[in-house]
Amino acid sequence: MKAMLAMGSLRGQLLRWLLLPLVLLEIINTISVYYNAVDAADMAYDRSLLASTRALAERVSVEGGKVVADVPYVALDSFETDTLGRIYYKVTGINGETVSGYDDLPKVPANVPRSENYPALVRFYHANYNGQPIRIAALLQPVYDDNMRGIALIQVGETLDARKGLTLKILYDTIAWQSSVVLLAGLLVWFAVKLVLRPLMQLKHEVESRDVSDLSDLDPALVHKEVRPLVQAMNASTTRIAGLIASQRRFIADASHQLRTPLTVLKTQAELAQRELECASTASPELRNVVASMAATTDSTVHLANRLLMLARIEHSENREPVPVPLRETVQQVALELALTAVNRGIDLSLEGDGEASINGQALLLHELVSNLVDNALHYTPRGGSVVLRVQPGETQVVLEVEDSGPGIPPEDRDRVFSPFYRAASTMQANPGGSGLGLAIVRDIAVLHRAELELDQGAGGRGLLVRVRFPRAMPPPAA
Amino acid sequence: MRILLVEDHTELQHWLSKALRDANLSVECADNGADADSLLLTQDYGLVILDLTLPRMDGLEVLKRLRARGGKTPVLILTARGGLEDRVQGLNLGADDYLAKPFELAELEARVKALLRRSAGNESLVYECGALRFDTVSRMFSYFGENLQLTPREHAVLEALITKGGKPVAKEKLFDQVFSLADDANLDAIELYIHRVRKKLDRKEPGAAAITTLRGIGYLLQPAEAKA
Repeated sequence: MKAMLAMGSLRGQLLRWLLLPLVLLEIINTISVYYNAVDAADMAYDRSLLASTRALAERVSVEGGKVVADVPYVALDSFETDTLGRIYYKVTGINGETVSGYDDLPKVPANVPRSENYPALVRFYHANYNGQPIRIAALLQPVYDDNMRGIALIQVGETLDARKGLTLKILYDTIAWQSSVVLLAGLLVWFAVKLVLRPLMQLKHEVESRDVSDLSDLDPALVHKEVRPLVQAMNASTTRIAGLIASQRRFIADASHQLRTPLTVLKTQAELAQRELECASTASPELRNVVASMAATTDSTVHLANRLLMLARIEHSENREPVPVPLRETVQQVALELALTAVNRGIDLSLEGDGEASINGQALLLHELVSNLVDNALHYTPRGGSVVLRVQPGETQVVLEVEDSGPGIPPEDRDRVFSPFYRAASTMQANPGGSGLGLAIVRDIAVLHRAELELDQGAGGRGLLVRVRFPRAMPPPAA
Repeated sequence: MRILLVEDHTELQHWLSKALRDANLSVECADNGADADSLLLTQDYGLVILDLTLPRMDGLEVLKRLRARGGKTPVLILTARGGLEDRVQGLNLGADDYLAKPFELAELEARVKALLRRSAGNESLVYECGALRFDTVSRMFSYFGENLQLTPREHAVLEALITKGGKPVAKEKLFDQVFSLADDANLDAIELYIHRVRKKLDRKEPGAAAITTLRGIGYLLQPAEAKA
């Protein structure tokens, strides 16, 4: 969990790494766009300012040795409506005298270069007039008549409202556009991350929905090339774990296997001793008892070794291909095998339900499961009691029930009875030779077959009812 | 008839041979596969009891060589390998029976006797259940020393039950032995014949045989007193 917090989210990281530089770039871009906009606006408005200046210049002439300007108000009016701002002008004569207009219009600063954009001798500059910034075009216009020639200076200034409006509009447009680009990029990252992470999510789902015992490799092709090494490393780690588990299972199998021969010797010796005692008339009942319990202990040790081997074998057979197993037939087979025990103990053993239904699995293990359940039921059922087996085929499930009329298991103990070597206090007397592995084996086999296991009360609130719900084997699709 | 016991575990070899000798059988022992193989090459035995995990030559190899030579000696395999595959492989290679360790001594003796009987060619056998006897040669039933009169189907039912030697018979199996394919009979029809046979067996004195019904499972023929 700590690592998770430290790493933060992939999406957040991507957003930070992508969006921060992007925003920075957008800001630089906006600034440059702004200045370009200012230039463009200046250029556009300068052109019309020059046009106004020229129009004014055409009305400047020399009359009687003096420069005169004939400026009708109408002309100025039209300028003003065009530019939406105020227009100021000044015509300066050859000798620097003010011919017409506003005398105090700011002079052309010395360092303003001539504009290269127009064939006219024009200079543009910014100035302040009457407390507001204005742009002025200063045009040098040659004037002459028959007597004199010289240069008149025609200045037209306009307030900056219009060009400011334009630049602001361009700026706002740019900002709006850039922001939507950033927003779009953010959204793209969001969805791209989601899209890109989808295979990882699928992998996660696959890992989560796996069977606990499934240690097979994950397919690296499920994810992107970049993530494959991770999957491969996971697979390698799983393989090592599987190897470890397998070697432990082998050890259990080998150990219980190795026990068989000495146990056979012990069993043979105990049986021979019992026979000798039967023939010898002088043997004390005490000695007979001792040898009989030795034989019984040997039997329960054999039972334990067999169970251990069975547990190891269950785990070993996980990789085997399941085959359809007729459950009712299996139950009947087990019932036939254990019928003598039942009859000898005066227990009424019966099988109900006659529809056959197949389940997918391992025949040997299913036999073992049923056998353990019936064996248990017979152990805990008193003489004169009954054990009822039921196989109920349903739409999607096949339900196996084993019901006995024994003491049952109190609800609080029901979870624990499935743990290996757990033995309920009440069972110690009823079945002293039990290994405490029977139900653990049942559970393991049930898990292997994806079956659900339930413990319940028998009919009338007495005894134990074990219910195993197997998924029904689907008939193979017609080829 | 001599028996060859091939078992590498000395303790087990000792006690098994003692048990078999106690049962009046003559036993020779070998403690590895190679010795067993050469003994089988030169000697004639009525039965071989063969462990599978053996030094110098595997038990299955000994069996394979014996059968390859055309040896007909019955072979009973004893093994701690409990797997179904081993069992199938052993039987495929020509073993006659299979016993997984650890086993009951009585079980071993019963199988040994059955195999010896078979190898002696003596198929005549009498099955008994209390006072009920069935002779496989004359194919006749007797009950308390008298001939038991049975219809062919009743006979088939009782024969299927008594030849099982006190073990239960699945009702489907019983049905197959009593009715031929041509018969259009219901599985429950078997109950009728069971009922009739039961009536004929119904005697109060000790030695009476009785058929127990295992509902949904099958039937079991036992001496009546075993049924408490």
